[in-house]
Amino acid sequence: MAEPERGENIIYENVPFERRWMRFERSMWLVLSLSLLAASFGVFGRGAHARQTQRSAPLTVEYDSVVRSRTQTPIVVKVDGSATQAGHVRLLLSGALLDKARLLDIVPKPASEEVFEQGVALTFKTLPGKPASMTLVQKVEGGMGRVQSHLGVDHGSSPLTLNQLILP
Amino acid sequence: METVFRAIAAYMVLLVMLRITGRRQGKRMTSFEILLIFLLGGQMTQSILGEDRSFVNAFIGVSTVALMHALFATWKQRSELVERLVDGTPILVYADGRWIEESMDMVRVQREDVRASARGEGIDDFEKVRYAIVERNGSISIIKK
Repeated sequence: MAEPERGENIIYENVPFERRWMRFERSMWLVLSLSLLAASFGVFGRGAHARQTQRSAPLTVEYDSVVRSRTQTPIVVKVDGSATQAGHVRLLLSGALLDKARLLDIVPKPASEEVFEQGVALTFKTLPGKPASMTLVQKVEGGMGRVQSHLGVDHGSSPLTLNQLILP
Repeated sequence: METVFRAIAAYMVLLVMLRITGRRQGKRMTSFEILLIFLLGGQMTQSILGEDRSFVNAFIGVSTVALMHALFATWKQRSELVERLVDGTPILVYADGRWIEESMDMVRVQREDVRASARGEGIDDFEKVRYAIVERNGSISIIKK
C-alpha cells in the first residue's frame, strides 16, 4: 500500500477508491457469470427453462414463455384426433400473438383464414380422426413486459392462455 | 426514439464492460485487447440499429452515442467522483525498491510489464527506477531516481 508522502504531489493515487472498485469489479464478474449461467438455462429465453407446454384436451401447445424482441420463436400446436373428425380443425387465435407479434410462417399452410372481432381463425385440413400438428413462427415486434395470447379450437374446451414475457 | 434508448443503454453497458475488464493501453493494444473491443462493439451495433438499416437510423444511433460521450466528458470534468468511476485513478505499483503487490493485483499488471516500460524509457538497470505508476489509460509511467 502506498504511503501518503511517496510521490504524493504527482501521483494522486486513491487506494481506498481502487479497493472499492476492485470489489465492485469482482461482484460484476460474479453477476455476469450468473447471468450467463441463467441464460444457458433459458431464463432469458431460448432455453429449456423458457419452453412451456400447456394442455387442455384436445389441444397441446408448446411455446416459449420468455421471448426476445425481434427474434423468431416457434409455437407448436398439437390437436388430438377427437378434434379432427370432420377432416379439418379450426384454430382460434387472439391477444398478443396478433397485437404484439407477427406470425411469420404457419406450417402447414391453413386452408382458409377468417378474421373475427377478437382475432383470427385458421382452418387446417387434417386426416379425419387423426392427430395433427401445426407450427406457428412468432416474431415479437418490440416492447417489453408480460403479454397474453389465447389459442383454442372450435368446439373444444376453453382456449389456452399463453403467458409470455417479452425481453428487449 | 427506440434507437436513442437502445444507444444510451448500449453506451452504458459498454462503458461498464470496458471498465470492469481492466485498464488497457490505447496506443499499445495487443491483439488480445483489440479482439475484446472489436467483439464488444460489433455485438452492440446490431442491437442499437435493430432491423432498421436506414442511414437515418444509423445517424440517430451515432448522434446519441456522440452526445452521451460529450455528456460524460463534461460530467467527468465537473465531478471528481464521476471521473474516478469512469477513468479510475493512477496506481503506484513500484516505489523505492518495493513492489506493491496489492496495487498490481488491482490493475492486473505484471512485473515484466513494468520492466518493459522501464526498458522503453532507456533504463538499463531497474535500480534506477524510483516509482512505477499505472496511469488511468493503462500506460505505465516510470520515474527515475
